[in-house]
This record gives sequence, structure tokens and C-alpha cells, in this order.
Amino acid sequence: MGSIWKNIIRNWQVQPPALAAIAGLAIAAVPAHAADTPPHIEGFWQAVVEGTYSLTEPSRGGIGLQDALGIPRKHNASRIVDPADGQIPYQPWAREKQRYIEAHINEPTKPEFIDPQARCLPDGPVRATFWSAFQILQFPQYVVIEYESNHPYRIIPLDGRPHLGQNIKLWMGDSRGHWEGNTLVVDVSNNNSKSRLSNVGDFASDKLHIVERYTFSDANHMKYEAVLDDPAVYTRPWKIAADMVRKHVKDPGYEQWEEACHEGERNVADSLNTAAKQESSEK
Amino acid sequence: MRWHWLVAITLAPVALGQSSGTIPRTPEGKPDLSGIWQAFGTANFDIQDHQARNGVPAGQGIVEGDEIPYQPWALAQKVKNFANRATADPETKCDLPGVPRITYSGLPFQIFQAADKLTLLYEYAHANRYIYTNGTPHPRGPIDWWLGDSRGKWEGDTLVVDVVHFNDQTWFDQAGDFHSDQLHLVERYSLLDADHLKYRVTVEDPKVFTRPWNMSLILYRRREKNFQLLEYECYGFDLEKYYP
Repeated sequence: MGSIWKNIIRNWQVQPPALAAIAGLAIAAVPAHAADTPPHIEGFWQAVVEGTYSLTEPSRGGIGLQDALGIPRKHNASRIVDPADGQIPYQPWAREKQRYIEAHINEPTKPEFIDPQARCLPDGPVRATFWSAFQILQFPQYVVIEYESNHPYRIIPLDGRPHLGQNIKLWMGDSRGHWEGNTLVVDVSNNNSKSRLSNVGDFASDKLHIVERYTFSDANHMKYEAVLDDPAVYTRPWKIAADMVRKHVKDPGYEQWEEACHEGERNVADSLNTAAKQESSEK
Repeated sequence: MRWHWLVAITLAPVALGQSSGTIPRTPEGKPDLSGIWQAFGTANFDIQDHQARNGVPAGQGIVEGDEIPYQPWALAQKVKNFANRATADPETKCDLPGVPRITYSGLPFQIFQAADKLTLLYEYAHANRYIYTNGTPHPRGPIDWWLGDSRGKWEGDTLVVDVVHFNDQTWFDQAGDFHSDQLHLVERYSLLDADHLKYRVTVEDPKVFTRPWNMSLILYRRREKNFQLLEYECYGFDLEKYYP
């Protein structure tokens, strides 16, 4: 189905007269239940359970403050659906590294403990999906995703072109998409993986390969799935799944406004100062 | 002598800044600006004529008439900015570079055009702009945005964009040319042919200049096979040291 759609688009661009013949072929070739055009997916979307604090206990940030105030945590199910225990299948050294970062994340005595998200660096394709609402724009040869928090974007070509050379690593990865019925399948490689997967130090390496599936079940509901494979860090591929809903349905005029993040950012200096003071008072 | 005549009719539309009739169009019949564009030249160093200096190639300016009509106090400030540019240029802090500087920052950007808005995505720092063409007005200010608020309309084959709601934190170039939060721009985008996009911007700022003035340049379509935007995340700190 995906390749037929791509062929239709490709031929539409160069040979309009051939369209009728190709469309005829497409209708004949696809199963009766499949649509011959992708669903309309433009607009704003957001995870039902938002937040990038943790993948295993998904929630918004501010957990530390919540704990300190004695507010009980709301326990949401792990976003990880495979393996069945809901945990990232780290190699032993990688689990150790994740725990080391997690232990220092709230009192960063060294700059490298600071979550790159706090520096307004791009979150990478998976974490960005959960941090805030995102806008999807749909064109015959592209799907564009514009994330609201810190304005990273992804341009996803649908024309079947190859990935970039492996020496080019990107914060938001290199995405290639195609349609399988109502599912947009996106292959993401060339990840620099300098961002983290959560606030508690979950990470990957630049060998990370992601396959995302955005399945649109009706006009306002979508299921997001991502399989993350990184033989340098994990013992096996693992899978995230989350329900997404359309946002601003009752406000069709909603506009995504500028969200400058890096500009004027002072979190990092404040965190380092606080940690340094704490350290010296403990001596 | 016939070739003179041929050359004349071939070049005339370009010289006049009009489209040659072979431009791509949307289903609604508007010029289709979709694609990856890039400015070449030295405007990000200096929007005026300048000779080569250390690290900066010589260049012909993009300011029409080459004169920026500063008020006297503002000219003094520009001279000061120029002297301190190595550390005072907001670009050195990796802040969003403002409009129109982001247009000629030197990195490519991609336009995605729909009937209700154009989305402009820049390789520089994942910057983005939306130019709404659905007849909506600017939101009520005052708002201090780095890239302003853009509302466009078509005048014939020219996209005319009104941009307001800026802060006073960006410069036009590394040479210290600056503005206040009263900056008001009118940008004009017109295709000369399928691969050349003429960009002209009128700059108005009653706090800084004595009259409106114009810049113009040409944007070139990147036609290499599979050309795509990459990333330029700008770091104001030692990234490789902290996140190897």
C-alpha cells in the first residue's frame, strides 16, 4: 500500500495524464478495506499521559518537589510494553551509568549531570513526542512534525529516498516515512543520541535505530509506537506505546506561538550554583 | 544582431523583478514557494558594502542605496556595537537571530506552503516561522518575540508579509546594525523563475531610523538530488566536554 501511494504521488508530480491509469491500478491492487489515500492527520496532537520525567513511571517533571511536599505520586503504567516487565533492557554497564546519572540529576555537581533538556537542546524524536503538544503538517511528499516545547521539528520525506550517510548524526535523527493503510511508519536513523530519553538518565548511543508507527484509528485518536534498537546499549530491541489525542478540537484557530527556550535560559547556572553551595556546606 | 534581441527578452523579466511566467503554482493558482532556499553572500557579516577584514570576505551590501538612515544617537550606538561585535553580537550567544537576519544567515531553510499558512523551517537552531495567509490579524501586543509575528497576503504574484512584535535583542548583521522593539517589517517574496526567489524587505523603526529603508537579495533553490536540511544547533557552552 505504501509504495503504491508513493508511486501515485511521484507520478502525479511529473506525469499528470498518467494519473488515471495509475490510480486504477492502485484501486485494483489494494485490499478492499484499505483507503487509497492516507488519512487526514494535520493538526495538534498530544499524549494522553504527558511528560518526560520517566518512561517507567510517566509523568510531568516536578516529581522531586512533589515528593518533598508529601504529595503521593500518581502511578501511570510504564510506557514500555515490551519487554513485559516494563523496563529498558539495558546491558549491565549501561544500567549502572543510567543509575549514576539519575542519582545526581537533582543536585548536579558536574555540568554533565544536567539533563540536556534543561539546556533547551533538542529532545530527540521519542522524548519530544511526550514533552508537549506537537503540530503535524501534511503534504503529498512530506509529513512535518513541529513540537511546541523548544520548537524542534522533523521533516519526514515520503518519497522513498535513502537515509543520510552514517557520518552525519542529528539531534532529531533522520526520518523516512511511508504509509501502511492508516499507519504512518517512520524509520529514524543517524541519531546523535546526545539528548536523553527521560529526566532520570535513560539514554541510547549513536547506534540507535528507531521505527515509529503512528496509527490513526479515527479523526481524533492515534496510537504511537516506537521500537528502539541499539546493540551498543541494550540487550534486545524494546518498545514504547502510548495513546495520543487530537488537541484544540474546539479551537480551530489555535496557533503555535514562538517558544524561545535557550534564549535567557538560567536553569543550568542556578542548578550548578545550588549544587555547589550544598556541597560546600556539607564539607 | 538577432541574439541581442533574444538576450534582451530573456533577461528583461529578471531585470524588472517580475516572474517569467514559468513559475510553479499551487492548485489555487498562487505562486508555489515550497522548497529549500538559501541566500549566498556576505550579508550576515555586514549588510552594507564592505571590504575584506579578518575572517570576513569583502561583499556588496544588500541595503538599497547602501545607506542606513540612523538617528544620530543610533549611529553612535552602531559604531559602538561594531567595535564590540566579537562578544556583543547576539549570534555569539546562540540566540535566535531575528528577522530578516535568519533569511540571509547563510544556512538553508525550507518553505512548506498551504492555503492558510506558509511554514518556514530553518536549519539554524531548528528555528521556525509561520506566515499566516488566512486573513487573520496580528495578535494584540505588546509581545516581544525573537522572530516576530507574520501575517501575509498575496498582491498579484508577490507574497507580502507584515511582521511586528519583535524584541530589541537581535542585530541585522555581525557589524552591529540594530533595531528597537518598535521594528516593523514588510517582506516581499516573488519568484523570478522556478529556482530564484526575490526577497525585499522594508525596515521601519521610528525609535532608531529617520525613515523606512529597504534591503533586497535573491534566494536560490537548492536543486541537488535528495538535498535536505540538516541541523545547526548553536552551543553557548562546551558541549563536547559535557556530553561527549
